[in-house]
Amino acid sequence: MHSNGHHHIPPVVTVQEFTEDVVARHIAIGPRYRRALMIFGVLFLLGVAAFVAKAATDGIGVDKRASWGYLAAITAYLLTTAGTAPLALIGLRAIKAHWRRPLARLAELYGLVTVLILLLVVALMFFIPSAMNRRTMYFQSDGVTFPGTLGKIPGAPHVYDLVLLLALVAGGIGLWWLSARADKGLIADHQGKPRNTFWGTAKQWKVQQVGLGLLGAAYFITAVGFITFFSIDFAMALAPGWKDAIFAPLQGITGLQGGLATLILSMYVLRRWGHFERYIFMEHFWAASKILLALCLLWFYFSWSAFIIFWYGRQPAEFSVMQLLYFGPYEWFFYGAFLFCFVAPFLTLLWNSVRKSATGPAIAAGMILVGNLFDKIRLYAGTWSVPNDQIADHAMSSVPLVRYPNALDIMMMVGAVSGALFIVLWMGRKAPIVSMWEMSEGLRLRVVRNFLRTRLTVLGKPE
Amino acid sequence: MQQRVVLSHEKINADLLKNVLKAPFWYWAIMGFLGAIVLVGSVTVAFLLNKGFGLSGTNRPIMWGLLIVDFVFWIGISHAGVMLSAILRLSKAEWRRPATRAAEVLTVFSLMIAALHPVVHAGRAWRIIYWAFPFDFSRGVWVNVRSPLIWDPAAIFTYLTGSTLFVIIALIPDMAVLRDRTSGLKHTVYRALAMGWRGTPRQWKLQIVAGFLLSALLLPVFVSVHSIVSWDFAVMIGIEGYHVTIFAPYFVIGAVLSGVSAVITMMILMKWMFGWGDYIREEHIENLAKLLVIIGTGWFYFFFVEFIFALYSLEPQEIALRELQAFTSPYGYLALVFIFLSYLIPIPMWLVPKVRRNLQIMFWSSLVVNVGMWLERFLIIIPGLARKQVWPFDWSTYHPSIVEIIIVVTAYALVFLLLLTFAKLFPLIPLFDVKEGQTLSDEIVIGKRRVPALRVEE
Amino acid sequence: MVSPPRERKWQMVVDVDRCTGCQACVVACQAENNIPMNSESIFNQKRAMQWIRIERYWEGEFPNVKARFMPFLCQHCNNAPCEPVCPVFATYHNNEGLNVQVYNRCVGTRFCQNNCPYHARYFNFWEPMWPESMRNQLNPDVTVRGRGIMEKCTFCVQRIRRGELDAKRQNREVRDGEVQPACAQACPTNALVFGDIKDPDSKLHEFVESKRHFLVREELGTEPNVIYLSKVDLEAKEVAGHA
Repeated sequence: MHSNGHHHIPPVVTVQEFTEDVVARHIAIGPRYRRALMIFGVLFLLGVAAFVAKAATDGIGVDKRASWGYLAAITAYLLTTAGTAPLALIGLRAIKAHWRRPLARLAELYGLVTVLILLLVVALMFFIPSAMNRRTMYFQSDGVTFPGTLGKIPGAPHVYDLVLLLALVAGGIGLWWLSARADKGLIADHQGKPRNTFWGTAKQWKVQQVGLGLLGAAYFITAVGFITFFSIDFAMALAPGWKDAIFAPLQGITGLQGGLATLILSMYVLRRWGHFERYIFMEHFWAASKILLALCLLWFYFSWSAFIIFWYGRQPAEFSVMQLLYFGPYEWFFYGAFLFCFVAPFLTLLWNSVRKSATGPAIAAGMILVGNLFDKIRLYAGTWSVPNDQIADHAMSSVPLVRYPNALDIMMMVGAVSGALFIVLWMGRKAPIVSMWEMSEGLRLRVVRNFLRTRLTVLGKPE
Repeated sequence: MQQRVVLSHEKINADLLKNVLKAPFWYWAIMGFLGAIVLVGSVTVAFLLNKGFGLSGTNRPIMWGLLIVDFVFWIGISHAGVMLSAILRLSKAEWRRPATRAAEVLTVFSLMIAALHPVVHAGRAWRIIYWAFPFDFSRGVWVNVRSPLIWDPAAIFTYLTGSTLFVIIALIPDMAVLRDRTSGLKHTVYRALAMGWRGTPRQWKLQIVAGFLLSALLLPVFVSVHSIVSWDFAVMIGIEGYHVTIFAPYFVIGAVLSGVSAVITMMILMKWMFGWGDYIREEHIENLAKLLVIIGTGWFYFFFVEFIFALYSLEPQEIALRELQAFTSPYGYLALVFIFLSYLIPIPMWLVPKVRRNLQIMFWSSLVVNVGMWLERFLIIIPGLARKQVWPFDWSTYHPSIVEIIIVVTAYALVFLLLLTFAKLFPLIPLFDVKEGQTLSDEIVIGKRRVPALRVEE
Repeated sequence: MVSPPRERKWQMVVDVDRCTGCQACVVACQAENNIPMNSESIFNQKRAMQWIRIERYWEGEFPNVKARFMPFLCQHCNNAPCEPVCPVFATYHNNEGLNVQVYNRCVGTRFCQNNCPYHARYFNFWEPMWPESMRNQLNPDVTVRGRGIMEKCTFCVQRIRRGELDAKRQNREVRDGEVQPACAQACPTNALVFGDIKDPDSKLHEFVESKRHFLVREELGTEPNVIYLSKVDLEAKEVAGHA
């Protein structure tokens, strides 16, 4: 809806202009990029060093879990921000929304961060006991302690959760590769080098289109599935008495919200510091912020659904869980999560004028990324601090005290995020940072015409 | 493939108004039949209120029976309206145009019928009508706002009011068209409903803004209605299989699934009954089916998580209940039928574009989805009550009585009756929406391809 | 000089070991509280009204069959799940620890019974009827309920009120054992003991401190006011009666 009466016609760019512009930018890289890459690389190595130091001092093992909660938190954080960024792209591709085009490559790059998530999850596996005789997604019991079982599945939960994650990593790499190779050929053309795989025949384009569609659907389902298994096996199952069916879908929604927020913030960075104003403009932020607003409301809705059931039931086991997660040792993290994942972004994105700018949604996205971290800390650091011998009990006998991060924890968290950004920056050089084939397709489908007494954009909607 | 259909405004008016201006021959026969069922149902309800709730099949422990299942079902159907008209309007999907009014009207009527169910179901229906109202009618005693049965009417009536306003506002331009084409008593009524509409740009702008605002405001209401109905069950600790946190979004997405399926059924029926092949085309049904594939799969995820979580707890009574629901006769057979009808047959079928465009198959498949979803509500509510405690002394089985079955059938008849009445009085496809779609559709030529396009106002 | 009455909290102890399953309590309750007569067809409809019921379970194979009896009545939970769900406030907790049912206010949604984990509430599916001759047996101290209303054990609140009024008139506290609900009065083995836990002289104290005491479905957090004493079964490996 136009609030001030005149239509916003986005800048008209031909495909030729666009291609030349982006190719030129891609070939020339500046010292700022190399500096950023080095900083992130060094921070990542420091994080690895902190991990090794912590392993030496605190030890590794199922009974040492309490001090490693922050590593689990940052893994979950990366999973629900970078790992879910491609989900936004996949959804938008499925509904054929035009405004996905500039953020496509960014989303695919974030999908590559799943490799780092794989390493982190492997490290976390050493702190999770086997699924036998306790509550997990694998319902394992010897039949005596708990009568309802699936028998014995060797390796549960480690092996199967890892297999699911490997599928996710494969999907993330596949999505990036299928999309990037079309552009790699274009860059090779402009550099005078021969193309080695992608020549742009009709069949290759068809394979790419079908492949991206199928792989996208597979990645979406695998991501939701892995978030389900990870959040249940690595958080909920470790807190006795916490039986919360909506927790996994809530983590899925948090993931969607975090993924979209990551993309919006990256889009803003690209526009502002990458000088992509001609291709990333108000329309993109406006459309993305509407969905972000909806996701904030959904976050609240799912969180409230969980809370009201526990609160109304007044059952002692669930009350201890509420103490652990909401009002007890981690209450400030909960308030921070609630404020930054819902209240502040909601009040920000509510206004049409904010949504129609670029900075407004970027600020909201930043708030969500902060809130997501608080949320993960209270969930993972909280549940990981429950003593291991209580894990099969009916309820927590006492709520563990809060554990704040120490210097090694902070270094590990900073290292993990830096590692993710390192991957994005490094792999971002392999192909243009905006997906050229997707943008060109969009530019061809957009025409400006006269209509009655005004000029209107006409968007093609091929089936 | 999207066809670009160009129809003149006169043809649109003539086609869509023909059943309003002159009823088809079969209309009165069907109305008579439905009216007879409603009459039988009303007499049955009166009989039930007179003799006592013992006429139903409920007992101790199964104190909530078929009527509550039907209540949840109709609330579910009512979610079609906001899904289609509000969400698709806000996201500017073109293919919503023929479906919006039918969906909104289905919402309004199914909500009204749903709201009647808990009243008939109460032991003293003549009291609950005004004691559940938020006013201290008797001796200064207010309602208990902690009870989900008070949240229910609050949410349902908010949704009903909002949806009715939505229908009315969207109707105004069409009322003006009717006002200008009728005379006598009909003219007076349509003139009053048209509220002085002249079609000036300012009036159009107000109408569109009102539609957008209502869409945005109704969205949280629509989510809250079925969530609150689900919390009728989820807040209970006394019943196995009820105290689950996922009920709210699970019910909501199930409601969207059954509601949108009902809209597909209704649209295909409208096309066959009123001959609206130019307005309800294969691409509309195809897009609705694509939407349902996604919603259905989301629903299946929630259903899977809900079922798995019973096993997650490793509690014997919870596991025993799921065994009852899934593997013990008669619930086991119902469960098998339900999962095949609701998901395993229709959704994979709808992945094939040819199937999506075949209206015969779409009609029957969307119908069976709703049969399956009705069974789903039955399986959520009844088995938990049948095995209510951990000790078997009071376990029971549920045999619906003829009174309950008649009331359930009457509910369906009443909704169809109201829909057909609406179709006689007002056009079921919004005239101005179709005309707007015509105006906005365009074409782009790229190489040798003619690509259908949309004029976008920013 | 009348001092205010001390705080009261009525509790009942049910000794499962002493219960013989004779159902004298059921009959006494039916007589005292104007409960409709249950015919065989009502039992078959699973709609029988028994404010206190004896659940009977058979254990073992012939010839080593044992019968286990478990009396169930409203537990008058301090954290009652039935109370928040009634839309019209027909059930609430009074300051003497009783869960009170207001018949005039009940509209019969049956939500309270669905949420009661002890199954202790009963619904009048039909208009309650008594044969002509039995009408004289109706207790004038207790409301006769109509159809569509929920009802349940009230710890014979009419007897509690009578006892409290008598004590107040005589300027004294209610003595331990003075107020007896019909079921406790009728029980031949003294399996049901009723009293005020806030009364320091009450007999309840020795039972509450017994090693055999347990609360039914304690993990639900309902905090019932009915305390059970488990059965002493010398032949059983573990003490029977725990749920």
